[in-house]
Amino acid sequence: MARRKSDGRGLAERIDREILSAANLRRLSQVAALALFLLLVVLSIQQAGGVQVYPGTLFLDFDPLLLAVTYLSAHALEPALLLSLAVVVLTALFGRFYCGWVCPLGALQTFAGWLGRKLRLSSREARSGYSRLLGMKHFVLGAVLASALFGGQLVGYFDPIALLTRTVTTALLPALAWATDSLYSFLGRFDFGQVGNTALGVLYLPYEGAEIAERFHQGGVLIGVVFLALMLLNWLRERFFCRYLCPLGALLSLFARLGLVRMRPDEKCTSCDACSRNCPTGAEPGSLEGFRVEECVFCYTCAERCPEEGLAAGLGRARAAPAVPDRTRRDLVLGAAAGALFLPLVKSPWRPKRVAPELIRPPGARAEQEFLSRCVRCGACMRACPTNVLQPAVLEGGLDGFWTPVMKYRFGYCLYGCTLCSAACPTGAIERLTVEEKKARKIGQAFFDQSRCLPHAFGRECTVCEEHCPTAPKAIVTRAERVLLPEGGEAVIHVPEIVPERCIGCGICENVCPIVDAAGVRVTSVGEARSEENQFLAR
Amino acid sequence: MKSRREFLRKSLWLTGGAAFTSPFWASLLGVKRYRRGGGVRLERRWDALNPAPPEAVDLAALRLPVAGPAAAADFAAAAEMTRTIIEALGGMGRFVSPGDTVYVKPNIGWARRPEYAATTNPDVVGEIVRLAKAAGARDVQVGDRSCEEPRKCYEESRIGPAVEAAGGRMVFPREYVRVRSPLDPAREWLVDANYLAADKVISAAIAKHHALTGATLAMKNLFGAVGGERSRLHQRVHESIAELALLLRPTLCLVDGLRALASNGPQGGSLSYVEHPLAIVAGVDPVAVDAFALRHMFGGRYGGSAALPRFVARAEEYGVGFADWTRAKSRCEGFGG
Repeated sequence: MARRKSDGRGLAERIDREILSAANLRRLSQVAALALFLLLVVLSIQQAGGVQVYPGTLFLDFDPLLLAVTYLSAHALEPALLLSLAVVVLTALFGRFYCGWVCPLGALQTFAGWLGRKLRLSSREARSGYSRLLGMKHFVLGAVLASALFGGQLVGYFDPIALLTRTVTTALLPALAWATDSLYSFLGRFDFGQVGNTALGVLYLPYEGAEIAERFHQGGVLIGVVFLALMLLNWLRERFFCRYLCPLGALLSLFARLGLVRMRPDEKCTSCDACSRNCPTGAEPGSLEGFRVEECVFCYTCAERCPEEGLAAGLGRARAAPAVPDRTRRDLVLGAAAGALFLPLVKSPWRPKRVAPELIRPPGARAEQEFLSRCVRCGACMRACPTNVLQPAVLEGGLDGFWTPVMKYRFGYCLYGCTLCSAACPTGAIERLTVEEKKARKIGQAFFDQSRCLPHAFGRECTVCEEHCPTAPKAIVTRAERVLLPEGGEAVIHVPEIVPERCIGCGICENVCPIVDAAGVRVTSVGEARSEENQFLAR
Repeated sequence: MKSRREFLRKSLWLTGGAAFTSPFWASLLGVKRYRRGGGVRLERRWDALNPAPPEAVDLAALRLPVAGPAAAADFAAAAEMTRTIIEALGGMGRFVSPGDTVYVKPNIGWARRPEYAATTNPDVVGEIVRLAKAAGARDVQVGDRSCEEPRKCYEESRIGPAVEAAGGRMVFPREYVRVRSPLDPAREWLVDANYLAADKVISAAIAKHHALTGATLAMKNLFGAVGGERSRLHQRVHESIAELALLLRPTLCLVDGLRALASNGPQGGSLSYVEHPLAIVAGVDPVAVDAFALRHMFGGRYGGSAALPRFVARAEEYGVGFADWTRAKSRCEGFGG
């Protein structure tokens, strides 16, 4: 590893050059951006008067790829996403600083790479240079854009911000909750005295206040494993995801070519090539001709590694023809072809003839086809949901609905006066609703299973569902009825019935039913306001 | 440490040794397996009343003398009414001793605003907290096992802010202790550890309609101190209400009938379901308090010779108290006869 010459330099100068170096400032910025991102995801559940207290989806709003795919798929410009144009303009002026300094997934990649080097499981210099495979991300971008144009939606599986939002929500926070709960239930077996117990309780408070506890997401382990794999791939190549897969990076790289700023060696350069060998993104800053400004994320690793301190960012667009042919356009077109094929491939063999009864979408969700074309699978709604009812779909919505939000009433229920998911959705897949609109928005219909419901099946008192039914007047009503008991004799009991027009499908009845495995009252999607076909009542 | 192998071997021995001997060390540290919760002494709660002045009564009720549209009534009187009633009972000092931990159990079951009468009036709860603090309580905790998302319930009912303004502490039930039923040794209840750990408990319910039980009052309110699969209790709901009143008997019971939910209970959801009895009742006997509330806060539905819900008779049968509140010393103002 090339170390700096430490000649007789003054302390101030050393602080200036080594502590306040550009690479360290970049690290600081990455840590701050990651911390802000995590904080916003965690806090996005906080609401007051039906709106989020904190801009929980700020990073998603600044993602130009989401703007592009929403425009292509839904032919609509989401006002909040217009913020992301700032990133485009700044990238066109100054290059991909967003990837190097702001992107929270980029920060985690940097960290994973550093960890691999610390554990001596990887080395920065191994195979760090340019490779034909760098073009893969353009292929991904092409596929993402084309799939959006044809009404599919691949972006959520690859976009770094959507990916990380989903991972934090459905895998990392539940894992943290599980670990914390295990720790506390272990510690709860001991008595630490007045002071100790109070201190432990106080330590628990921010965790409890952040509403991380008792959350679970189906299939979260798969989402977590994908994330872990992406992290470990950094030991194979520095910034693996950024180099080969990231469609956002690919999109920004198209604009970065216009950039006015580039890394350039100065006259002290001895052509030792340390900069290119250490470049985490394969931009090869050492060669004036071969430097790929579109790959450079201005991480300043090259400047840090230069034994002569002969590298800095400078003005310059002089970009000679690259050493290898520019295949960007080819990759994009090839990807677009694949993306166009994606929808027919996953749709035709998997499309059910009728609507799936268990496919219950959150209130405000648009009609299924438009919902699928807008939803970017970021999971922001799942984090915002206070009852944990929103779950990443596995196959409930067909193959092309993988990881879209679906209501699962064994996890939670739709809280009557809550509109948080619609406030959290960055792309308008879930429309903004007012509380009054929400209370009237039907998302499904409850039905009694008379062979399981206690009063219906066994003549026992129950009606917990009626007690919890939130509509006014209640959709579940009770009648006093004389019933024959299975064990002989008869009794007068409260028998619950449903007035279908009043039911909004919130599912609290199914959630609180004492028959905990398959409830005696269950909600299916029929009657949902967003669909014209999925209806059963005469109008 | 000479080699990696030696280090690993030593680490393994140390870890294994620590794990194997942990019960011994734990016993030295004084481990309490309080989750098992054997031998919880619940009696202290109703034996621990402090001496009261001779003029103190065991049941006090007050109705605002308001004519005209009830909705126009100023609920600012809530705190003052609460204070007057507790005063009539001999003051908070009768129930709370200096240094006590007090657990107040209002109805915070639903994420509804106070005007929908689904949750206890926040000013009443706030005043109880203030009085308990003034009586020297070291810690006043307020909590409920809400039916809907707890944080939303605490916030939307306005009880959270009112309690914090009064110097109390909102707590969420987290730990539950197994307690044997006083009636059937085969039955166990999971009871909120905060409720059990408190020196004194105050049940502060609101008068509400309930399709299955007729009404939900101070005794039914104790469902909020129970963990586990609470939904099964409905199958023998009157017996469960009475048994919980016997098991968890609060130091002081109060029913807020300033607003009462007359139908579509216990959630309500429309102002048209809300009536305004403008009354509060409190006392040491939960059965008497509930019976009084049934007579006077439900617009005559339980008036005269109308049958009271079965849980009242069950509670009498189990020896919780007496429905006939005139057996106790009482002071009821504003109720006509």
